[in-house]
Amino acid sequence: MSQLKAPHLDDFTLLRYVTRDLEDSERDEAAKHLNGCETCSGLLREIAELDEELRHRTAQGDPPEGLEILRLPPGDPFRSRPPTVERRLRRGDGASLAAVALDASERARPTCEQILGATRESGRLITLIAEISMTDVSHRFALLYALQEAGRRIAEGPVAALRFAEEALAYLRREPFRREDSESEAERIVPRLFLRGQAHLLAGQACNWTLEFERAQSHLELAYRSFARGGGDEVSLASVEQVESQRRSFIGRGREALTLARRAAATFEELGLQDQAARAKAAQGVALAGLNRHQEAVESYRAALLVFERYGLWSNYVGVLNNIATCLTKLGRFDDARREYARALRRLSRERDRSFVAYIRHGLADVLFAAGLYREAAISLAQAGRLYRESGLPASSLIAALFEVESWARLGDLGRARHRLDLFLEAVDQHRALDPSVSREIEEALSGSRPDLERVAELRRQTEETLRERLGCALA
Amino acid sequence: MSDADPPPTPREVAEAVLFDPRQRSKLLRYAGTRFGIETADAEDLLQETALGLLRQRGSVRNPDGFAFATFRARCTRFVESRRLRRERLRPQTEEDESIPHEAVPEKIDRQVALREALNGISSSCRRLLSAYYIEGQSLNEAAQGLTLPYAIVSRRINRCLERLRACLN
Repeated sequence: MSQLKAPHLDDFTLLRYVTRDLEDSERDEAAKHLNGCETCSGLLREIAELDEELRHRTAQGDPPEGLEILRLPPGDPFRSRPPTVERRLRRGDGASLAAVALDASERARPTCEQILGATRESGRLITLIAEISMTDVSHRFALLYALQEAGRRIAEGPVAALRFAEEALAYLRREPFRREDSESEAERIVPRLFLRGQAHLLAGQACNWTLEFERAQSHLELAYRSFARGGGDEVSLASVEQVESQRRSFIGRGREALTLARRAAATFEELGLQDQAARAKAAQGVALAGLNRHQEAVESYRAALLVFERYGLWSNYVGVLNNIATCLTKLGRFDDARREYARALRRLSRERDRSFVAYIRHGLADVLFAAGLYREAAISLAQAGRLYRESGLPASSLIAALFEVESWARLGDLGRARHRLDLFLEAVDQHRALDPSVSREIEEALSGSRPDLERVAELRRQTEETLRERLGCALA
Repeated sequence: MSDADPPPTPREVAEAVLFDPRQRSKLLRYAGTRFGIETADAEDLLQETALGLLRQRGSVRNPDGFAFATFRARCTRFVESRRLRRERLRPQTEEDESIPHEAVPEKIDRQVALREALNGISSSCRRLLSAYYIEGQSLNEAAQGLTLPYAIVSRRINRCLERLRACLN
């Protein structure tokens, strides 16, 4: 990108040189030129001075006015990344410590799997966590890996993840910490504060899913602080920023969310962590959509989508795909949204990726419904409902079925709408998932020659919430 | 290595960082030539890199790239913290004390000029500088994020930097 072939180096290249932003080969070339060019060496000094001035004022919490656009408000714990407390290894014993770490990291796997397997069984989880020994490095790694993996699988069960995080935190609080522990191998390899940070991060992430945003806030602030004090790496701090960005988007603080998501994405990209960078890009998309910048949101989502597709991260893929379609629908670009879904359906196999195809069909139905194409929406919902059922997702299946009822009703095909409603009520009865009074209300709203469609829509939304609460719903 | 070879695992990369003499000397040399870090300090940073890799092993798809990038980031942080420590410890020299009082208003003038210049810069340049100085993105990445042809970005940024630089003269 730089102008290294020009007779002199330009200001931007010099700034990139000063800030160590050039690639190695570019840097060598620039250094060679600077050695023999007095003009550029003089300019380099001026650029270095400018960089120093801007950097100094930003570090003092006083960035120049012109640059304040994306600042977080004063007092915000996420205003700038906290300085990490360096936990330097004692000179000379680093190699032996790292060798212990290598072995312990391998031995951690079975325990990690056991913990993960127990996250849905409260009693077994408590027993397993209680058996963890803080003096055993492999146990610390096992707990760390299990917390990280639970975060990656959050969509499968946020409530179980929250319980796991809280059990881990309770255990870490209970375990006594003696002064001599700070010198122990286990503490130097996986610091206790690092584990606390990871547990708070998982709790914050889960609270975002369960829509408990204040609780999420306190967990995420504690995660940020714990990671910094525990010598946490940039990856961990960026992970907290990404989850905090999602939280701020949900509570309508899109500009701040955008700043945090960008900061996190920059770190992940710099470290070559493409999956996480894609998740941070998706978080940017959520923030931009919240700011009604739908076109920019689509661009961010698309960048993330490619990575999720490349690595087969289908849960993330479907989530982002639905977000793209929502933005395109808001932009009135229904055909583009349909094309996105069509492409995704070609990409996935109905047999192998049944539940993901179900979510895609459901998302497609949302777009068709918004475009007034009720027949197509109803057909897509019927397919989604069947796939959800086959995938063992009863709540999602019932939600799709009721949406199908409304679609037929809006089309004016009341006979079919009532027939599908009967089937829906029968299924709901089997699961005892809905109060009979609500079922009656839906029937009433749909009765007569001119059904109350607005009331049907309202009852559908209420019923969706009830079904999610009572039957659980692992949304993509 | 053929295309079909699977990428090394985090464990293999951590082992290479810790015990493979060729890999180690390559990284130690890099720390020395690029950052001026002595071997003993660079060795410490290598151990920390290996530990960092093991702590994040579940998230890393390209352990080689990750190890190098984190090592580079640790080197940068090390150099920066050493610089700050030196600055804090540096006693005030005669030269500092001999700065005439007239220099203070001059400095303020420069800062005012800089602030005014910043208010007048193009939005793309402002976005780039904000992304770099406030959000922590790299300059290259910030420039790419502007979604404008590079020639335009380059022209605008150079013009902007030229004006800002002039304020400090």
